[in-house]
Formats: sequence, C-alpha cells, structure tokens
Amino acid sequence: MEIRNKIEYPNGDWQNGNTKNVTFIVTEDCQLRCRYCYIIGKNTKNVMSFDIAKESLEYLLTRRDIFSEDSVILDFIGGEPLLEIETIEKICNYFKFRSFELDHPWFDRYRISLSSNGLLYDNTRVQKFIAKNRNHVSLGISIDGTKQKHDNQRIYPNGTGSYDIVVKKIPLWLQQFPNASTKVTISHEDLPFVSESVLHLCELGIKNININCVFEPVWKENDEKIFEEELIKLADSFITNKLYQNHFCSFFSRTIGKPIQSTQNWCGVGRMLAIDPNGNFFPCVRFAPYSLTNKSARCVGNIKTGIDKNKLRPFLSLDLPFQSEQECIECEVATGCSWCQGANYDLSTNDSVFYRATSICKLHKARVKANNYFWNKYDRIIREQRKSNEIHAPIYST
Amino acid sequence: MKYTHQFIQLDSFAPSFCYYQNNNFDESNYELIKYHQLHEVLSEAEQINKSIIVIYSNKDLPTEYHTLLDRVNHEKIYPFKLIDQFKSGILILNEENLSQVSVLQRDSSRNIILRLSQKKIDNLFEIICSLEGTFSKLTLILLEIDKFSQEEICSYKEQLVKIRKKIVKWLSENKTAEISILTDRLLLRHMNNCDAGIRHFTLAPDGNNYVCPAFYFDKNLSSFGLINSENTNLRLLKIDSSPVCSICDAYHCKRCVYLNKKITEEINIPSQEQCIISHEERNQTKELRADIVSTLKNQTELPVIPEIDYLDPFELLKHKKHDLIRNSNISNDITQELIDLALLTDREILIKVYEQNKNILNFLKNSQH
Repeated sequence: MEIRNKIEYPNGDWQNGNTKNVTFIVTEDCQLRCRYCYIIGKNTKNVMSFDIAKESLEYLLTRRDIFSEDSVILDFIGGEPLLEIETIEKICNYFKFRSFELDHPWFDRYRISLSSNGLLYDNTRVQKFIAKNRNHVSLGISIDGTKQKHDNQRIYPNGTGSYDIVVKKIPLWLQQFPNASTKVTISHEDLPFVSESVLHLCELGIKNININCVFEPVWKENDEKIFEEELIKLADSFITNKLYQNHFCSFFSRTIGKPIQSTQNWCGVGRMLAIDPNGNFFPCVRFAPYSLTNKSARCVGNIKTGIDKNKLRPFLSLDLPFQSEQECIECEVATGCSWCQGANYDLSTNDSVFYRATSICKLHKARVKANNYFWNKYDRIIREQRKSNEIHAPIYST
Repeated sequence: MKYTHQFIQLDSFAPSFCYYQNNNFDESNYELIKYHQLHEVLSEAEQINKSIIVIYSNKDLPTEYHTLLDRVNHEKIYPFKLIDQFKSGILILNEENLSQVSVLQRDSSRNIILRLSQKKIDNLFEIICSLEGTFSKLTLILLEIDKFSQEEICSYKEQLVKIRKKIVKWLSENKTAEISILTDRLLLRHMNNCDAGIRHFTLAPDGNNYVCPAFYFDKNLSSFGLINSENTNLRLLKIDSSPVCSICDAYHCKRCVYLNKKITEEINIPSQEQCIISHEERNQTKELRADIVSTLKNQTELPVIPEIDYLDPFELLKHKKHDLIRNSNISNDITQELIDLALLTDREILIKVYEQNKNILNFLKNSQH
C-alpha cells in the first residue's frame, strides 16, 4: 500500500494548463470590518451592475488575441461577494450562454470561485447557486481558528465577533465541499493562538488550511520567537495525531527554506485581471482604489478602451531579483518567503511595484526553523513505520 | 554614481530639447534661476571638472547672468530664434521652425536636435535632406511616441531605409552623415542612453535638482525626479534595475526615464512603442553597417550587430528567453576579450562565428573557466 500523505501532496491536477483568472469585484461592501483586512475603502455605494459585468465578459470573450488562455477562473470577490449573489448568478449564466454562442474554448473549461466570510452561506439564493453550478464552483470560507482568535480580528462594525455565526455554517459547507480550504490570516495579536487555532480547524473537519501572516509592518520585537514556539507545538500535534495523513497546513512544506531556485514573481499579478464595479481593470484586486492605503490605484484599462498594454508591462516584467534587495536575493532560506505585490506597492518608498516589503522576514525564518523540525520528525516517523512494515510509504526526499 | 555633466536650465521659458513638452510661456509664471544659485553651481561644476550644459530661452537674461556665464566654458542648448546670437552649441529645431531652415548657414560643426511629431514622419527623409550641410550631428527626437500607431511605425521604418541610403551616399562623397537614429548604434558595444540621473542632473529655475528638466515641468511627476537622498526611485534608473532594458541591445536608445514613468507608471519600464521604434532603428543600423563596412580600412571598428527575431525585448520576458538573450548581449564584449587574450589574428573568424550563432562565443568563454 502506498500512502500519499496530504501534507506532501496538497494539490489536485486541475489548472495544470494555462488559465486566466478574472476577478469580478461585485461589491465593495462587507458585513464585517476585520481588523487586518487590507480593504480599507469598504462602502455600500460601489456595486457592480449586470451591464458592467456583461460588457466585461463581452470584452473577455471576444478578444481572443489578448485572452488566449485555455481555461478561465471566474473569481468573485468583495467585500463580501455573497451579498451580490443575484448578480453573480446572472454573470455566470451570461458567461455560459455567450461562450456557447461564440463556440469559445472556455465554454467547458471554466471554474467559478468565491471567497466568502461565510455569513450568508446557507441563504437560499446562495444554496440554489451552488446546486446549479455544482461541478464548477469552489467556495472558500474564511474562519481563523478558535473563537478567541477569530473574534480577535473578524468582527462586525459594532465590534462583536462573527465566530458563532460562521462556525454554524461549516458542517453544511464541508458536506458540500469536503475538500474545501480555508484561508487564515495572522496578525501580531494572533500569534499565541496559532497552534490551537489550526488544530481547532482540523477538529471542525477542514482539511486544507492556508495561512499567511499579514505583510504590513505590524510585527513587534520577539514576535518571531512566539511564532516559532507555536509552530513547533503545531508540528508536534500534527505528527503525534497523524494529522498529516489527511490534512494540509501551508506552514509545512518541503519546498520552503532553501536558497532561491526560481526568480519568478510570487503571484500572478498582471496575468490575472480584476474588474471593479465601474468597469476599470486592475492587475489584481490589491491595486484597486479600495485596497490601497498609501498609494494611488494602478488602473490598466477599462471595458471601454480595453487593456492598456503599456500600463500592464511593469507587472509582467516583475521578477524576484528586480524587486528585492540583495539581502533577499542571497538569503539562504529564501524559498517560501512570500510577498504580496499590492502590499509591496502600497508600502513602497518610491511609488513603484519594484519594491519588496520585508516585514515578515523574521517570521519567515522562524517558520523555516519550525518547518525543518516538522520534516525531520516526520521523516523519522515514516522511516520507523516503514521498518516495522506498518506502511510501505516511500520516504520522499526534497 | 558619478555625475560627469551638469545641466542648468536658466528659466521656465527654456524650450524643450527632448521628449518632454514646455507649453508654459505665461509671463506671470516666469521663473528665473537665482543668481547666487547659478553662481554656486557653476563654481562647483568647474571645481570638480564637470561638463556644463546650459539651456537658454528666448527671454533676455539680466546682464550679470551673461557676464557670469561668459566666464565659464559651457555647451549651449538654444532655441531657433537665437541662431544669430550663438555661433556654437546645440540648436533646437521644432516643427514650426522647419519653414525657416533656409536661413541656416552651412555649418559642418553645428549640432541640431530635431523634434518631430508623428504627423511629420512621412516627411522625415525630406526634412533631413533639407538640412544637408547645416550640421555635423543631427539628433532626432520623436514626440509622443506612445501615440504612434502601427502604420506610423511602418512609415517610420520606410523613412529610415531612405535615410540610411542617403547616409551611404553622403559617406561616399565624404560628407558629414551623423544622424543619431542610424549612426549612434554603429560604434556602441554597451548601453549608451540619456543617463539622466546617472551621469547628469539638471538644476532647474526653482532651485531644485531634477533627473532632467522634464520633471521640473511636469508637476504631477516632479517628486519622482527630484535628486535627493529620500528619492528611492533613483536606484531604479540604473540599467541593471530594468528587466526590459537590461536584456536589450538597442544600445543607442535614449531610454527616457521620464517617458517611462509617464507612460508605464514605472521609471524603469519603457513603453512598447519606445522599444519597437528603437529596434527598427537598430535593425536599420545593422543594414547600414553592412552597407559601409567594406569601405572601411579597419572593419572591426564597427561591432557586429546580430540578427534578432524580435522588436520588443519585453516579448522575451514574456516567453522567458531573457537569460539566453542577457548572455548573448555581452557577446560583443566577449568577442573583444577573446581577441585581446589569445586570438588576435583570428578576429575575422570569431566575428563570422558570432554572426552564425551568438551563443557560441559565450559558450567558449565559459568553457575556458
């Protein structure tokens, strides 16, 4: 029997090809005011009309010379996208109808993706939408961990936490999407709750847990020590309870903590396209006006004039060496040290995307140490299990 | 970073000599550099032996300014109206001056900057012919290059072919034939761009130092072009900081960082039109080299310009061929190094090899280590 532990093989096969990611900002409103949220310009005014969405789809589907990808992900984001489920449904319907009419390759090669706070998950319209698009839709709900951790950050405008409401939606969500993943965000105040929060999510039955520390400079001295201790605790629990067999936690990865192996940009900024409620194009949602604290938005076109190729060039030119200081390029544990291009720009001292914010440097190094601890222990366990013929799993080397 | 040249823009009426525009000739906004600042910058530049370039306008200067300027050696950049006043220097020729070029006396030492919009592209060859004998070097500045259509770029290419043939003719008649867009690249083995903010900066009438005058005139972008320790944009000016330019071998390209910022919003990323236009020029320079190389005594004085299959190096980034190109672009240097080291008598063979395959010399050099 060959065991393929989830911790080592987190990804499926879809998206191996060439995929266009199109993000529709259907609303800039949200029921919550999460403390760490980068969307500082939440408002009830900017909501995408179906006409704008339709015109956007028309442009996307009829300009094969620009959008030549094999497949597409229709990504819906907010604010909270489920607030606009009716528009989302109309957009998806129109996409299916129009791509069929045009005999477009995307007709049977598309995914619908939504990132939600989960508060409206069991709403009838939402459920109807999920049922209708069952084979194409992915829906992620953000739940941060224990009640204490979640309610630390994910709060209503009046300051009360949202955990008690969201956690009730999780069973239905997991029933409909057994392999769904949640996205956990960690800020300075959350560090002491990292381990128990991940374990709590596992207890809730969530099998894919993607976590990142905020890129903004919120971190204080000695945070990295707390972070490392938490991750060591988590590593021990993951191994003792054999959670690695069925759970993926993005903290632990074979590939992190090595010198640079690829100079590619971290994310797909510029290759994806975000469309705001006014029909303006952005290289990603983080460059739209409502996401930027310190800088002007970086618009790369609109539905009337199309893509401005010159405005897009910087984003498609980005790679690691051109935006990083020498210290990052020469870093011995560089791999897995992520960055958000929008945060880089927003925090840049030169109004440029050719900048790398390094607030998470010490945290990344702490993560690498805990990650090495995890894999050393994991490999020992697997080796011992193999010796005792408990399993016949190969020892996967890096 | 060592500044070797100091530009001084005397007043706010100073005409543009480059890609930027100065349309502000409102007397109420007139700004003249302060005398003590002019005095200070001239003294400092003289002390450290910097070349001084002063941009004059049509506006009369106070006598004491003339007295001060007359005391120091400097290159003058001046508008058409001042042709009688200055016997040497760099003359700015704009479209509105073209009807008056007949008044230009024959002068084989004059430098001319010719600034043209895309509307005049179809007449470029004709315009250059009309200037025959009036310059030793003609530098062409194409205005608003981001507005060039595909058709206009094609027309420009056609004009380049005609001008190239004219240059060959002029050379055969021992006439001056230096025209930036076709002759600058001939002798270059490395990037030789405008280098604003790297080798020179401009003292503007407001007393600030800018990367170039464009940043003084464009108030929206001024802060990006200020020369001071807080402006971290300045590190992006270097060729190594540009993913596109660092893999490019259109070595003569002006690589205007102001236009970069204005068009692409990044000081280190050129527009598509900038790249394509420069590559059309580069490719015609390659043809020019072929036209004239046989007439030269020492043919290797003109570096080989390899055949390439793209007009925009950005395409290489998109298709991830940049490492290959980055290596091949130093082939000229490698060629030179190998010749100097060991193969002095086989120079021609190396060049032939290089013409066949740009990567072979690189491979040879690497295999020696």
